[in-house]
Amino acid sequence: MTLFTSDIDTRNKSAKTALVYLLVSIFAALFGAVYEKFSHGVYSYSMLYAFAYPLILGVLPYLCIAIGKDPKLPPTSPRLLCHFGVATLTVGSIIQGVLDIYGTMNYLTYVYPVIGALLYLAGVVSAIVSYKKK
Amino acid sequence: MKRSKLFTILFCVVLICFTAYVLLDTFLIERAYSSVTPEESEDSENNDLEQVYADRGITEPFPIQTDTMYIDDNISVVVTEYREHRTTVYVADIRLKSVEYLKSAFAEDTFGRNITEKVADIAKRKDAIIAVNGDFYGAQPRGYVLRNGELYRDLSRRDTETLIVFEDGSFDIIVERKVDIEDVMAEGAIHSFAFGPALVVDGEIMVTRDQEVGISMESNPRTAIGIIDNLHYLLIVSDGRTKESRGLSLYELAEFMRDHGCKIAYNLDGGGSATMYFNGDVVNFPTTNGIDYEERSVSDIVYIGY
Repeated sequence: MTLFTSDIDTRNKSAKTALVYLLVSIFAALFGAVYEKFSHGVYSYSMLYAFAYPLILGVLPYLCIAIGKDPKLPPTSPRLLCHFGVATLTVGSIIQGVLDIYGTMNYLTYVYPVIGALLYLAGVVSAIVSYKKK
Repeated sequence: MKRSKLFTILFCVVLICFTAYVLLDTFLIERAYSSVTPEESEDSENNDLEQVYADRGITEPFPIQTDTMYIDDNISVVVTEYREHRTTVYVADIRLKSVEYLKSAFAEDTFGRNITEKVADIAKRKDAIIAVNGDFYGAQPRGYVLRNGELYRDLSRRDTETLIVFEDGSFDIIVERKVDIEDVMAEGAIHSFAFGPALVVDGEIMVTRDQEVGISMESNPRTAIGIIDNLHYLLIVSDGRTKESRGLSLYELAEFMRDHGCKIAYNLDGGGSATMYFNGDVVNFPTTNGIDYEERSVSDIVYIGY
């Protein structure tokens, strides 16, 4: 199999991004575990599974690009939108967890999943559009 | 600077600012919705109980006050300590002549969010004989809040079991989404407490052995209120989270209250909030982290007093 330099670059870049997402996932999982440890048995699914956002929406797609047959990275804008979406969802999940464990709620936390999902979706849609244009 | 970097920095700033605002709004920013005018403000400044009782015409027998007992013409409170499930449990057996002596008070005499005060401070201001923490209504944006006959919040909270105290002194448990608070008020409700769950109803335990408050897993400090008979109540606070007291599970608490004769028993806010105040002092060991004994500031109290 012959790989072009641009393909190797794309694979390296994707793998690097996937690694960053993996580190964020590990951090979120550790943060959740430590927070739960000191919460006197009160637990929150939002806190426990906050790591899943960067893992599923970050590591997985970039890993697919890195090991896929025809590696193509979306342009910067769609990628940024996706990064912002994952960040919003992850932070929102952790904040929801903090509130759950304290035993309170705030309607403002609903903003995180809505905005996060919209940003991620906008990123995916614009990535698809840019692929089609090519 | 690259455009993408600029956007990233801008996004981070917005996310951090918004998150900071959410946390401040949840835990710190005070929002007063209405204030409660003390019924007789001169009493709250008068620490001379003898004078207060004399003013109210209570002379014979003069209140008997010991470390574990308070008795006058209208109110009898006996506080007893038990050891159950490696936990110290404080039980206040209360008999009243009228339900008007079973009261609730807000922190800073104000109904609102993030307005909190220690149980002992509210109790002292109200000249309470005995007080425990209430349902910490301020931690939730929804849930009926009816206190001393006045409705402060009529937003129901889904699936919340709420304790209702009626003007004849009886208790009932309602599920908020099924019952309109206005209808309950029309039947004579004077107080509502929305924490839960109901522990005992008709003398039967209503919680399962592994049931907990929301998503709490462990035994914890607890506060509960129960009715034994007409105008005969129990206020219970258990210690927890320490080597001396591990705390009670909801089932253990329910069992304890049923065994002490409660027909209806209801779980109030627990954990670090669990505090019992009697005759001028906090009698239990309130703790949030299990290391330091410190009263947590709460939204409201349930108390017995004039």
